[in-house]
Amino acid sequence: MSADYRQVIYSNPFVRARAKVGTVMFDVVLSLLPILVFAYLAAGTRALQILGVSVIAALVSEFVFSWFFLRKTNSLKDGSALVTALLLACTLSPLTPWYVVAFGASMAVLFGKILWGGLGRNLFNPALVGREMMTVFFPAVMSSGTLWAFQDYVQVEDIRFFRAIGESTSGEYWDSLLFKTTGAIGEYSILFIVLGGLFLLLRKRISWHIPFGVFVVFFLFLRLLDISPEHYSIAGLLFGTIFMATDMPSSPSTSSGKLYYGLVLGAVAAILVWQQVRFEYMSYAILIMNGFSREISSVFKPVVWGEKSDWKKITGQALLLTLAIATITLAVLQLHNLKAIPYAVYVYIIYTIIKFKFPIKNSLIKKQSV
Amino acid sequence: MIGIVSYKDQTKEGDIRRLESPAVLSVPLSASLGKPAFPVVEPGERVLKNQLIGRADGIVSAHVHSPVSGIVLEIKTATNISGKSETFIVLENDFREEALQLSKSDIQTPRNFVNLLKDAGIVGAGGAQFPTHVKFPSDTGKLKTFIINGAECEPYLTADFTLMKNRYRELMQVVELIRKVYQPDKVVLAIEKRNKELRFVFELYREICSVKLLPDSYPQGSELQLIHSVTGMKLKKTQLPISKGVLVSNVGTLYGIYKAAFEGIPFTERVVTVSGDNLEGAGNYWVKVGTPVRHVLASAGKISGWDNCHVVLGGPMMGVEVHRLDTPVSKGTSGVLALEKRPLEAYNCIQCGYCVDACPMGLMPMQFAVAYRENDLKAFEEYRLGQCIECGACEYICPSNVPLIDSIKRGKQFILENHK
Repeated sequence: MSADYRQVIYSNPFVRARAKVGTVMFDVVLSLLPILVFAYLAAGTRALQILGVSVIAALVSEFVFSWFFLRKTNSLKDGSALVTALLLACTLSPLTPWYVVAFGASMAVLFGKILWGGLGRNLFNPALVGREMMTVFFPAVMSSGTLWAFQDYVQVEDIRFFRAIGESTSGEYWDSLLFKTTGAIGEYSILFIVLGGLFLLLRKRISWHIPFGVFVVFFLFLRLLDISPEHYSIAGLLFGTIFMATDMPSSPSTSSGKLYYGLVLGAVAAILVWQQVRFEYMSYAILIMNGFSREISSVFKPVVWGEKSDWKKITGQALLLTLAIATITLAVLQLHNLKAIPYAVYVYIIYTIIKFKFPIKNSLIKKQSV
Repeated sequence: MIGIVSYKDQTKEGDIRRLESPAVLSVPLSASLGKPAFPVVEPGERVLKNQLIGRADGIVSAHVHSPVSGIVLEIKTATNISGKSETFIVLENDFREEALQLSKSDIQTPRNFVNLLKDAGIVGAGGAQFPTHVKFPSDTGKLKTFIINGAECEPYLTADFTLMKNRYRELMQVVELIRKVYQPDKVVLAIEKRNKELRFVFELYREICSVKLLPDSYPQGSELQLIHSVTGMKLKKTQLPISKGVLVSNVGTLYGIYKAAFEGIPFTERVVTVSGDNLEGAGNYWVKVGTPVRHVLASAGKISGWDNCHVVLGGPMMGVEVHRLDTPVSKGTSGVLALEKRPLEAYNCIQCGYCVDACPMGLMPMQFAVAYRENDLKAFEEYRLGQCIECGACEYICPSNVPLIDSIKRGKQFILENHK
């Protein structure tokens, strides 16, 4: 690991923007706060317990693993472990057993981030990595039929906000967007998921490209493939798109790359829904796309000042990329149908360990002093 | 491009003050581009103010004149702020101010004009120090659009702003001269929105010079971005603007031309913004070329505590830190800044893409840090390192404090070494 901390600036610029990594993470936490309030209204202290366990497990894991594997003791400060913990909890049922949550949060940090070399070096969204580990290692718990039956814990059945201020027919619809008591911890208020997204957009923590791409293509495919609404959750789709798919380290860095990423992500998610993948379609789709995000960035470069893009080359590369993504999507579908996803996760675990132990330097000029 | 906090208010008010002459000056013979001038005086020799002491050597080179009258103490070679070896003429000031003048000539033709620029040792005052006589064409008909760069996009700096506010008559006299000599289709003064009060000043001169308001974004004053904002043309980095009939001159350079053309005084002093954190005498000063930075800071009110400061020549975005306070002010020094050192924590790049959005040249700066870490020559070229103008916008905006500019500068060096 190269020296990551320095005390003085040794080159221009000598002024810097105030927003640092911690600021970015803090904004994500802020945007999630209203969603967490609705989680309490819907599932009471159960939701808070899940959130608490996830946060504690992630923070402890971050501190311990970061010290043990990376020799860094201050990585808690960047706030990424907190964000991972909250995002992971938001995808879970309030009835998930606490030890499974703790396991998931801990694995999210370790296999999602630390073994890649820490924040920013990871290829996949850590929260989703944690979630997949949970489904693979606790299959019985995670697919139990009673996992989502948390009616006994509901604090507030219904919020009559829009019905109170307006007429009842459209009011009822808007109230269902404001609050409903089904789904995962982060999915009870569609309205506040969207508002959280708008906040992040205004603060420039996400850009419009990915959500726009996903929604346009997903709903287009719904029409084309004639998928009925009970096969997917609109709140889950929104949450995944706004908070998971836009995760900085695991999504492309260029505007055109983000747009492509969003468009293809929408298609992959819709195809998975169409092929009867019930709960995992969003996780699979995002993780598949995560794997390609660095490639996408290098294909969809910005236009250099005063020059023109080589459209032929870009189209060719984009076609190849799309083909590769389609192949992987089909492979994941096959694995899913054969109930063989666990093997893919095992391979991932072994891969990250080997990669950490024996880092590949893709240096063309070996060890030259500069 | 990005928005940056300007920090300009502390030096925007008031006229330009005169900085006391130092007792000893060391006048640099080289500009950052091209060949250094060739010394034409000997140690021990007495020189007059405005006397030629360094003769231009070759085409891309500029004359150097003495800013004071006095004795040549020595001609020394030392390492300059960019780490290159440079020659200085060290002068002892006798404070008699016995001066010469440039030989007066009636400027009618482009050739006269270019000769005047050459005789007066005029170079780009914005920082690049490119010899101005090389930029201006020697025949008529070539110059269509003359742009005066009043976009001072670097934070803290107000040297050009004060010139435009307090010396607008002189600047417009030069515009009239250039109009007479070159007959350009149009002359445009480009200023930023935050300085729009200047528009009223130049309202009187709208017959000879139109004012173009630019957004307060960085790096708006960069030549390529400026030309685009004014004319709509996106020139390549390698293209000479005059090949498209466009010529850009900085406000400071224009004032230098005024001094030469109307007062017969060569380029020996300039306006320098002295500013920074907690600086009592912050403001704009007439500073003689060759004045040591220590003298500038002391006269402007800062006596001690430099250890806690980055002392920077130029603006905070593209300027260079000086580690020796006897480093002199050059013709390209637009600012002397004392900026408090603040500890910085660097994180891994988080792929946020802020640097990509900030880059005015359409590059992906974070890839240069990766390429540098992995000594990857091919990646430097794939991501077009050569197009980078080192404006620093990427590192300014980076939430992880990744040393991007350092990687870029070392990367360029790396490419040079591996291509020989």
